[in-house]
Formats: sequence, structure tokens, C-alpha cells
Amino acid sequence: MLSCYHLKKLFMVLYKSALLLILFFCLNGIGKLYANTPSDIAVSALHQQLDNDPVWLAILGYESQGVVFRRNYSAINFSSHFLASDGRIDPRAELIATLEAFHQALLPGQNPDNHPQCIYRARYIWLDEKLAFSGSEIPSVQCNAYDEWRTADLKGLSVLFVGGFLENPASYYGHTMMKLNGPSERLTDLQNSTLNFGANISPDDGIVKYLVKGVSGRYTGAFSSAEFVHYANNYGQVEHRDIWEYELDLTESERTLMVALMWELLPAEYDYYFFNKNCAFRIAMLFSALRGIDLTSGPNLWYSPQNLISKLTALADNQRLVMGQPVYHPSRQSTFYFRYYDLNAEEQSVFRLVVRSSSEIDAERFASLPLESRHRVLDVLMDYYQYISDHGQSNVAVPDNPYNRVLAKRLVLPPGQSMFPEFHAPGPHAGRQMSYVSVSYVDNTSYGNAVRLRLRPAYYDALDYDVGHVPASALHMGDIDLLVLDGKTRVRQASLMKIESVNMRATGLPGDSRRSWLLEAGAFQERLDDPDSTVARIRGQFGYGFPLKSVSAVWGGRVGGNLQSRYQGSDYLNATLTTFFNGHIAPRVRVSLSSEFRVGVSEDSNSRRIDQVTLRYEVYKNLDVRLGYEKNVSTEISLSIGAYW
Amino acid sequence: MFIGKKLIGKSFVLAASMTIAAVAQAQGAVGTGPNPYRDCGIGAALFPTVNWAAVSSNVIWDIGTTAVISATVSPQTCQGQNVAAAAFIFETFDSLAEETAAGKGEHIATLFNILEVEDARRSEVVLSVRADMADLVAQGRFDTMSKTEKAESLYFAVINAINS
Repeated sequence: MLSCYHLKKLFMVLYKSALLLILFFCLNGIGKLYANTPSDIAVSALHQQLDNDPVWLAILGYESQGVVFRRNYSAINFSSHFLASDGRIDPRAELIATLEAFHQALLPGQNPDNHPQCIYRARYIWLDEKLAFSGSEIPSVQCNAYDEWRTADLKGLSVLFVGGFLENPASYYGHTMMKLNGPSERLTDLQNSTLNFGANISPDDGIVKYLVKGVSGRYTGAFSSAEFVHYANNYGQVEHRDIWEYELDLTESERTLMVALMWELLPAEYDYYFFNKNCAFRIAMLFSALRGIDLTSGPNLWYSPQNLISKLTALADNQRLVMGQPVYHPSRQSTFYFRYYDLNAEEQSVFRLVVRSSSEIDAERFASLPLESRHRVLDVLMDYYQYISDHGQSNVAVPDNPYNRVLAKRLVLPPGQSMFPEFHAPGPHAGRQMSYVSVSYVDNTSYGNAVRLRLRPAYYDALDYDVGHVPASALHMGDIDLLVLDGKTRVRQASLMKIESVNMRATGLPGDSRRSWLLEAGAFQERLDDPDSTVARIRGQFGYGFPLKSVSAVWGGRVGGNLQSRYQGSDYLNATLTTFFNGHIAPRVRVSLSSEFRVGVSEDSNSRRIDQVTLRYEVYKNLDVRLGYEKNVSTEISLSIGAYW
Repeated sequence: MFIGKKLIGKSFVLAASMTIAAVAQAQGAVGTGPNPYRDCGIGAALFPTVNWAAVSSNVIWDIGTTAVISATVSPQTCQGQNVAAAAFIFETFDSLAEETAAGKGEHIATLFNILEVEDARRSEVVLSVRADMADLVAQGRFDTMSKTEKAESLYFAVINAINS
């Protein structure tokens, strides 16, 4: 048994051990505390809660991500972009690491452009504004590469919307990019820098791989910069795509921050998703650094260039960013059409003569035109020949090239610009919203009354084409039309994709034919007397459409075929002959008529004619009413009300 | 002038199809410097052969008019405003030719900015280039000249006019 003395001694040992242990942990804690304590400037930054500032998060590319459990982390998946090991998920750590990096002294022989202050230029500019670096220990570094890139005396920034072209599927939904506008006394617009976001696509990827990888986020997306001339030339001259330019109303400090952010993000990499994390989305995210602007709130199942323009131009009051009307940069195709239809009767007649035979350019009839008319005719001829060439006339190396004959004639006439009126086309900001939903009341001669529900995520049909769209044409993906009958829901239509190309402006000249084509795939109700007759179908048609300019209409015909699953009397392969008319019969009223004769290739299949008439009334820009008539075995009348969103 | 920062998979700056432009009459007068098209490979597909994916606006472009990779002369020879002008002429030849015929335009102004031609001389240079181009285009062989040859001819017409 232990005596009191021994107990006392044991207690003292335990007591001292406990004290030592406590002291150890305290010192360890204090050591850690001192090791992690930021500098004074970092303390100030944290005190101001700059790590949670929306501008700081925007600079780091933070987004709310995840479907079920939403978290905030950076969409930039390029680890070298972050200074802290967990900078992608911890904005506080990244802020402290950034400030530490800014403290670094420039080593002898070190390229200042590699200093963090020059690489992370947006962070530097914004943090300097918040923390006043000039009175601190942070050295000042001269960033020559940045200064050279950012264009001295920058006058402004613009957002560019590039329209689509139906002959090029990859361009359908348009494109957006930014332009840095330098002083016009020193630079032309063609020399201005641009910022573009796109996917890094392997040249070996075919269309299927492109679609799959683009939709599933398996491409890397990144920003790049080039002079505007490259895009003006490629989009305008080669791809026949119009450009609308929206000039931004920014303060000088906002402009400085935006430009610095563009610079900082040039090396960054992202996952690219064709539908929603695309060029429009990434450009929109740049604006998160300004005035609390949020152009990307919402689930954003899809985000198109038109979405961006609509939201940007809808900003009001202290968030208003867009000044006035957009500047229109017409493509060579648009320029040709505008100018051709502006030629007077004699000029147009001579124009057509020369197209028929280039020697007419040396004939009496051309020579008898006034000089101004000769300039006009020659310039429109050059527009025409450029438009119908694949990659520009300078790439054409054939004897007796009529374009060169026209150019030669222009060069021997006295110089002078041809006079045409200025032409404009409304920009996408003036258009309606992109998605469409409608509900219809249906009366069918076979099954009576029913309701139809329609959802079309994007984009337009032959009745509701709008600014920036191809008139009388159709382009949509994922158009779903459900029939609700007797408590059951059936698929009336589930169109994966539909493209209907009609060129209302086509002149009918060689190379500018009035051809029309259609391509569609999906599931469709085969006949109106049977709501369960849904078949899978792919169809294609080719023909011609002829404009009726007096009524902004087009009529025509196409031949084609359907390949589909069989259903009671319907063949798997059918030939079709279709006639159509789409027109603007009153200010807010459009009508669409079509009649399709369909015959199966098998002897036991039924042939039939399918007639459709639809009248659309635009109540206002984002609301319409449609009256429909369709005869396909049975007859069906429908009345719908639809909204765009 | 900014030089694009990202180079994507397409090696369209210098494909194997480097064009040797041996057009005697396109050479400049003494003192006009090297031939950027021959010596620096400009003209070898600055833009990729257009395929359906390449024309997508979603593709990253790196289209800086930089000195090209396999220049046959020293890299220093293939830098500077003359080479930039040569590349610009190649890329926008059609617009330049048409504006030259008209006597003015944004592409001509851009070219003069690149070459730092004073405002006071620009009209006279345009007229001189216009006369040279008229002679060139009137020749039957212009129809079958390659784009590089056409650009080279215009380039030397401009350089000669500036230096005269």
C-alpha cells in the first residue's frame, strides 16, 4: 500500500506531466497560429471579407456546381492556375496565397512578365484597389507583355454576336465573343484584339465524336485572342455569317478590370459543354466581376449566344451596359443581297447579262451606263462571284475567270466608291426568347377532344422565325409534343432535330439557286385516327422554294423519303412529294400550308395525302396563338396559345 | 499586333504545302527586302482547309500572323511589319484587291497602318498600286496564278510604291 508521501510524490509527477503536456500543446498551437498568420495586408483583406467578395469569386471562376448537392468551386480545371494547393475550392486560401505571391521580389534576370502580378493581372488590379498596395511592402512590377496586349488608350469593349448559317450545322446557334476597341486614330477596327472562347477539337474527330464529346463535356474549352480581321474575314467572307456588335458602357476602372480578367483567363482551361458551358456562358461569366451583374443565374440547361445578348440588353438602371443600337457587320452574302436588290431595273438587267456572258462587260450596253451605275454593277458582280465561291475568288485558278474580268474592269475605270444606302438588320436583342411552350385544345374526328402540350427548347419554325434567323426556315432540336387523351399521355411528336432550309432572298442566278431542303429525325404519330401510332422516323427532302416578295412568302416543292418503323399499313420506306407555302399575310399573321403525298415502296402499303394548314397570330413578341388544321386519315383542328421564354 | 497565345491541334500555320513563289516580275526593286512568301513560308495555309468542324465558331483559333515555323532565313528576317503586311495581304487579298480598285477602304487603311505609311502619302501609294494591279490583272496569266502568287504581286506593288 502506498504511503501519503508516495501518493504525494506521484501526484506531483502527474501534475508536472500534465503541465508539460498542456504547455506542449499550447506551444504547438501557438506555433501553428504564428505559422499560418497572414501578413498585415492579408489580415486586412480577410477583415474586409474579400475572400467571399463576388468579384473575387468571379475572378477565380467560381460557380455553383452540382445537380443534387450544389457546391461552389472554380470551373477552371487547370491546376496551375491556382497558387494555393486547394485554391480551386478554397477562395480564402487562394487569396492568402495570391497576396504572398505578390510580395515576391523580382529576382535578378527574372522576366517580369512571369511575376504573379503580371500573370494574375485582374487579381492584382482589384486587390490593389481594395487594399492600396502603394503603401505596402508589395513591390511594383512592370508588366510589358500585358501592356502590349491590352491596347494602349483603349476606347471601349464590345460584345459580338455572330449569326448562324443553315448550310453549316456547327454554326446554328450563333457565337459570341468580345472585342477590345483601340483608338481609331491609330488602329482600324480590323486591328482590334478579340477574345474568343471555344473548344479544343482534335482534327481527327468526326461529326459523331464531335457531337458526343461536345455534349458530354469531354472537350477542353479555353479563351484565345486574335485580331478582329481574322474573324471578320472568316465569318463574313467565307462562312456568310452576319455580325452584330454591342458596344459596352463601362467606366474606366471597369474596363481595366475586364481587360485584366481576359488576360488572366487566357491560359485557363475549362470543361466545354456545347449546350450550356459554351462560348456564351463563359463570356457572360466575365460580367460577374461588374456591378453585381449576374447573367447566368438559373439552372441553365442550355445557354445560347442569343440568351446572353437578351440578358445583356435587358439590364437596366445602374446595371445597364449596352449603349444604343448594335453596329451591323454584314456578311458578303448579305451585302450581295442588299446591293443586288437595290440595283435599278437597267442595272439589274446589265448585271444579268454579264453573268450570262462576261464579254458583255466590254459591250455597248454596259459602257452606256453612267459611271456611278458602272461602279455599282461591278461591285455587286464582285460580291456575287465572291458569295458563290467556296473559299474566295483569290483561291480560284481557272482560265477566263469572270470575277477577274470584272476586277480588271473596275481597275481601269476611275476610282470611286459605289453609292448604296446604308443597310441594317435588326440584332438578336430585338428578337423573342428562344424556348417555346404551348398548350392546345384539339378536336379530332376519330377520338374527339384532347389536349396537346408542346415544349421546344430551341429554336424556331417556319412560322415564328425572328431576327437573326433564316426567314421561312426552321431549326429546332428536342421539340416534344404530347397528346393527353382520356387520362393517358402519348407522344404526338418527339423531334430530335429538324432543319428546313429555304432561301427567300435567293436570286436564282447560277450558284445562288432557290434550293430548299429538309432533314428531320425523331418519333411521330403516323396517323391521326390512332393516337398510339407513334413511329420512329428519319426523313429528308430536296427541292426548290420561290419567293413572293410582295407578301414576304415562299412557295415550292420537294421530293424525298421517310425511313421509319412500320405500323399497320404504313411502310418502313416511303417516297414523298411535298408542296408548301409560308407567308406573312398580315403584320402579325403568318400562315403555313403544306401537302405531302406519301407512298410506300411495298405493294401492301397504303399511300396517302397529308394536308396541314397553320395560322399564327403574334399577340406580342413572346406570346402567340395558333390555329391548326391537319388531315392525315382523320381530320384534326387545334387552337393553341404559346409563350416564349 | 497581338500574336495568338494558343496553338490548337491544327498545324495550319505551316502545312507541308509551303508554296515557293518564283514569279520574277513579282520581285521588288533593290532594297525592298526579302520575299516573305518565299523566305518565310507565308501563304502555306494560314487558314485550315475548311471542313465542317473547323468552321465551327466553337473551335479555338490561333491565327496570329506570327513568323512561321520553318522559315528558310533567319528568324529575325521573318519578323516585323513587312512580314505582317505580307500575311495580311495573303489573308485578305480579295478585299484588298476590290478596295484598291475602288481607291479606298478599311483593309487598305489597315495595311498602311501596318507599314506605317504617313497619311499624306496614302493616296499616291494607292494610285500607284492600282495602276500596277490593273496591269497585272489584265494579264491572261493572272487567272491561273495561285493565291500566294497574287498576294506576292500585290505585296511588292505596295512596297515598291512606298519606296519610290
